[in-house]
Amino acid sequence: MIQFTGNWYIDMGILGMLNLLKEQLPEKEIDDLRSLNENDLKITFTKSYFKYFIKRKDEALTNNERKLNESISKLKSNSKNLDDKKAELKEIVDQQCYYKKLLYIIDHQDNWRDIKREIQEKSNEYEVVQEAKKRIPLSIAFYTNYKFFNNTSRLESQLNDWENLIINGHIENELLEGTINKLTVGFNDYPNIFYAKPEITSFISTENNLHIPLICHFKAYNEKKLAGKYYFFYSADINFCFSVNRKLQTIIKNVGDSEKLLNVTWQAVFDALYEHKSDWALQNMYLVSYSTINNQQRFENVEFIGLSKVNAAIITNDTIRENLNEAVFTSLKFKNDGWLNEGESAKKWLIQEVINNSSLLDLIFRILSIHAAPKKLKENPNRFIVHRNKMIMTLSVCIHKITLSKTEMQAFRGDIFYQNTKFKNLPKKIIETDKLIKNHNRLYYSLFLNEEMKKTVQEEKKEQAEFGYLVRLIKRKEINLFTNFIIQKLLKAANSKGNQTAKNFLTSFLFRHIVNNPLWQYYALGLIFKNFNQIDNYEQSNNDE
Amino acid sequence: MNNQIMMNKEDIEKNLQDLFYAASKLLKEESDNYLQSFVFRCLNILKGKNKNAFYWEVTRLINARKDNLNDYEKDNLINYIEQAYIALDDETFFQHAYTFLLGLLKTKTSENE
Repeated sequence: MIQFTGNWYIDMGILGMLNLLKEQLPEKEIDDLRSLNENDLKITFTKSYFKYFIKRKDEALTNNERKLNESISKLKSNSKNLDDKKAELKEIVDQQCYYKKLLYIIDHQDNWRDIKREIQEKSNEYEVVQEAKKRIPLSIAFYTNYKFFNNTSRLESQLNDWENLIINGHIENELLEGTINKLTVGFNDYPNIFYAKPEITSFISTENNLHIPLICHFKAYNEKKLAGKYYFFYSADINFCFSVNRKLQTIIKNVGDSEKLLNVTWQAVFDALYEHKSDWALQNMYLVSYSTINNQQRFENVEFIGLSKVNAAIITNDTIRENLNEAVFTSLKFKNDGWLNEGESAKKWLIQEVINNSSLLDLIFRILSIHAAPKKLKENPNRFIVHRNKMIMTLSVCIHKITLSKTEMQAFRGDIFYQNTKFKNLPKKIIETDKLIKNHNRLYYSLFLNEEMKKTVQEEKKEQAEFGYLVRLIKRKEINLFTNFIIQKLLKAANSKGNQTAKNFLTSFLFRHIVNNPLWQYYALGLIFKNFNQIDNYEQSNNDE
Repeated sequence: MNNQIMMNKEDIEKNLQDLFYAASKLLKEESDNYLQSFVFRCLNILKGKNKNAFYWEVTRLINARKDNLNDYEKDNLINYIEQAYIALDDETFFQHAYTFLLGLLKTKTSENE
């Protein structure tokens, strides 16, 4: 079973290896790939590794062929260069034919001996291709010195070296230390390290076949650069890491360079969360970036992006995550693509605001302030739709995060087991609070305002003004005026039988969560929050004018 | 007021609970109109932050309707309101005042549940 080791550099190689295996066996799931037996693993890996490089070289040749064809078509029939160009073109075509044969062999043989024998036979048959070009084009700038990557090594020695290292697992210490792993300590390079010899070979000898991933790092990165860098997402959970990186690759392909990396990563992480609910993996996440991945290996940064226990507990819950997975506009001053200035977005992603521990109350007030500017809203009618349910869930998350942060002040006198259960129960508590607020919100609107009934313009305006007044009271922390206003409304509401029950519930809610609660602002906003249909409002107010 | 006393959060919370439930029994026999006019009057007084007037209104009401409560509830109501009026800060006083009014409102609604 392929496992992560906990060393991010080696794990990066393991991920690269899994990516290669997935290319060879696209129908298999990650767990099937991880549990391949030793023989199958080596053969599948060999096939996908060879195919990857042959195809890459073949693509380069096709490019050259196209360019040559173009230049030949431009030349006149009596040009001196024409014959040279034609000879060059023939060489390319021969080379491509040779590669096609190799690919055929690799595809149709399932045994290393047969692959090796047939490749050698084919190379002997194929006299049109120069001896030096018969080698399998294993050549990546990351490890130029290693035997079979070396451009000067011919096909036979390449195959033998491959057999030695990959198939038979004969690891030559010095070669591995010096060339493959530039980030760990080598035999000769660091003589001043006296307390231990943290050699890569001693490490990889503890696990079977751990030498294989050491030549796969290039495949761990996302192929497309973002903001001039190659990125790799690392988490200690192998399945989670694998699926996040695959999703990250797809997302990076489709986004512009201006997109923020963290946004993109979170998007991939949350998509992957539906499959792997691993909150400990969420607490240990890293982003590794390289500016180049040639032999310079320009390592840029390893950034820790793990979530706190509280955030991880919140995010792993599907209901909460679905509700928070929404981008909302918090400013009116933006260009058409949603950007204010460079790097500054008018949109805020609720889930990211929760993770960043931003003040969500401020965010909600900013959203509400947009709805006080109906003229601007008309220009972008579909952008500013705010869903009540999502905002109430945001408020519930705030309430419990604040409550928890207050109790965490007493962490040192707490019981560690109690702390753990507290995090486990957190999503349940958030959903309960969410339901409580939503129910009372519904009661509030059923008692005072009928949202579904067609209203006159005056009624609409009055309702808007009243809503704005209540929001201002909450913002200014005028708890007394707010309570006063709602009690007056309760007294004025008609006393039918259904209304009496609603009034009873609202009275209790006001007492418990507004008058007698330090977090009353959150409950108060939740109580009065409504869905915004600002286009209608605007049109109506326009007609009125 | 100089003779303010410090109460911890738990104590205030307990006081408010007791006050809420005691107030909910105070006007159970009264008509809707009486309740409405009393609460409206009190709300206006509270809006003007007139603590004296509010205390006077409430004391008058408790004296007139004290038969609706048992001794424990009576003590709770009188003590807590008096304590809030005389010794607690403004914020806590208004907390008590609104709790009292919400308790009164619950009177009518709980009957019809």
